[in-house]
Amino acid sequence: MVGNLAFLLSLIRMTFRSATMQRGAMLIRAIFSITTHLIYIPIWLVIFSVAPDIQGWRIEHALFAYGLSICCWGIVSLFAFGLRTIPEQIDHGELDAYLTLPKPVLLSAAISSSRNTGLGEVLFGLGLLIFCGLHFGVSLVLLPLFLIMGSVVFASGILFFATIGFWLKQFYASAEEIYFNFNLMASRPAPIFSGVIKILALTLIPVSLMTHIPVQFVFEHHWKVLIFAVLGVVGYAVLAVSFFHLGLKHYESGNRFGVRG
Amino acid sequence: MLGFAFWPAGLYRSNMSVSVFVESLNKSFKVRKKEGFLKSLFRPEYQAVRALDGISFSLNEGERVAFVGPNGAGKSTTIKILSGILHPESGHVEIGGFVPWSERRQMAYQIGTVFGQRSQLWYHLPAKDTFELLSYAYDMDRGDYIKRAKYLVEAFDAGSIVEKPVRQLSLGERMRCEIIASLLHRPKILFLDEPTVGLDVVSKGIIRDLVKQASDEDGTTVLLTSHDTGDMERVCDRVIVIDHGRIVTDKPVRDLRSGFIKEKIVTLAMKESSIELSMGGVNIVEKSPHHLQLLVDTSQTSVEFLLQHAMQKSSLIDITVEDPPMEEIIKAIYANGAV
Repeated sequence: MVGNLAFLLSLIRMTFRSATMQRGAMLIRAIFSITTHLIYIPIWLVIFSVAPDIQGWRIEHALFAYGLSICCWGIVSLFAFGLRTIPEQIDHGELDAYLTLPKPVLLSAAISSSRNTGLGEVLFGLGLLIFCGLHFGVSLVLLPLFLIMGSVVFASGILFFATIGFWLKQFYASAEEIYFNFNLMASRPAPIFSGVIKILALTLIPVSLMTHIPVQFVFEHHWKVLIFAVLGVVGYAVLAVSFFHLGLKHYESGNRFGVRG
Repeated sequence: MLGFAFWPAGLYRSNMSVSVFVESLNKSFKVRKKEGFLKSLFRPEYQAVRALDGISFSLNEGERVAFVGPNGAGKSTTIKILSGILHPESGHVEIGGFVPWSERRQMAYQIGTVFGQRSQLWYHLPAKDTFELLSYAYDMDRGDYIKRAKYLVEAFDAGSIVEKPVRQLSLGERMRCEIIASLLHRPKILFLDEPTVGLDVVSKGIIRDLVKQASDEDGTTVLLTSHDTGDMERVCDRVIVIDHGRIVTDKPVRDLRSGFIKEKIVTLAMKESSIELSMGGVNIVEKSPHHLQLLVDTSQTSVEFLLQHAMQKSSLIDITVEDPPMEEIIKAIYANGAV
């Protein structure tokens, strides 16, 4: 356990060192990332000026959900961008090297790269959350918990869908579409989801656990719902990791690639 | 399902001199049949392609063995099963006393791997950073890691190389760093899959010498796959030739020449401009004034008889008797199936 932790910290250090090799590019990407997300703010303002209350959700709910979603997305991009590239790593046989190490394969695969837009996303997200705290008086006491929950849901969701790459070749592009929609759903107000989509948002793509329920808690303080969300997050993470290991078994069978050497 | 149930775990653990033990190893891959788009989408059919067909061998501690064979022979599949990457269909394997597919993590401390076509080094960072990461992966003591890294960097004459980002290194320099990375944790067994692929002659020589030197110094067992017979000759004591998933031959490298090849290349330099030597089993390879190169089938004519005959007919200045190149020997082994 201690060895795994030391390896994890060393991996994170390496990932950051690698990502910051070109500091200029990192800074520019962070600035552009912030700018891109700032563009959405006027859109939210226009929408809520036309419809100030969408089934109980007002502008502060939407901005808090948006800030939470973008910040968690950025955390995953900064610390575990490797999760998003798992289909590519599978296609290129890059997991081979991790399989020969005495450490968990998932750890190496997930933290093998970092995306520098993540810095901009984290800064923007945090800025928006703090703005909600200052301007709308939203309590930020449980913000660290919400950020952990959101990041775990994003990471698990990405891992879950990336794992399909063990069975489907060249799944990278399709996986990116899924991650994008995951992010999109997480940053939209809960009331716009109904029927099947609402069920999906609580199960296969559990964006409700990462933004909708925390937002509801911040404004309504339903502890039971929050505990349900925390348990849901843990369950979803276990499901995603188990699914990955199932895929890894398929990789170890070698059948995905046909005959090799 | 793995068919190794009848093998008691750790069967060869008590035999300390055996580093690698492989018995009746089988592996098939399921390959999708090529059919129409819709059929393969909704009702795909598979066929099993046998990659390994009951191979058995063992390596003693400190032994250096080449695993050679044509493309698709099963070399990489074997090395991947032995290093814990692929799982076999049946058979028994022990690497340093551990079964690779069920005790992968424990076994990982015992082995080092180098895949010539795949890098374990971080592309944008200096190789020394990867070494540091690997020291954590193998739970090395800090002081021990620093000492070991310093020793290897000096031994591999890689002081300036390890400071540069990997993307700036030549293939030969990168391979030197790959081997340092694989030796950091003092593995007892080193698996090298095509370590000299794509390298120039000088770099190949350096890599071969370094692998041999490292093995000599630490007593590391080496299993090396290669298409290049030079790797086999310069590094290994023994060669296992594999084809169609079966072991075709398993011999010391020196016996491969003497035991298999029935031909010699005889080169003569003489005072006379040319001589006539016509006898059964002797063919001219190259002929120029004062120079004659012959391929002699020793099962028909002995080299001694040929030379006696040549000395009667001319004044020889120089005589060279050589074996055919190792490539020819290996090709002949593939062609004949078994030795």
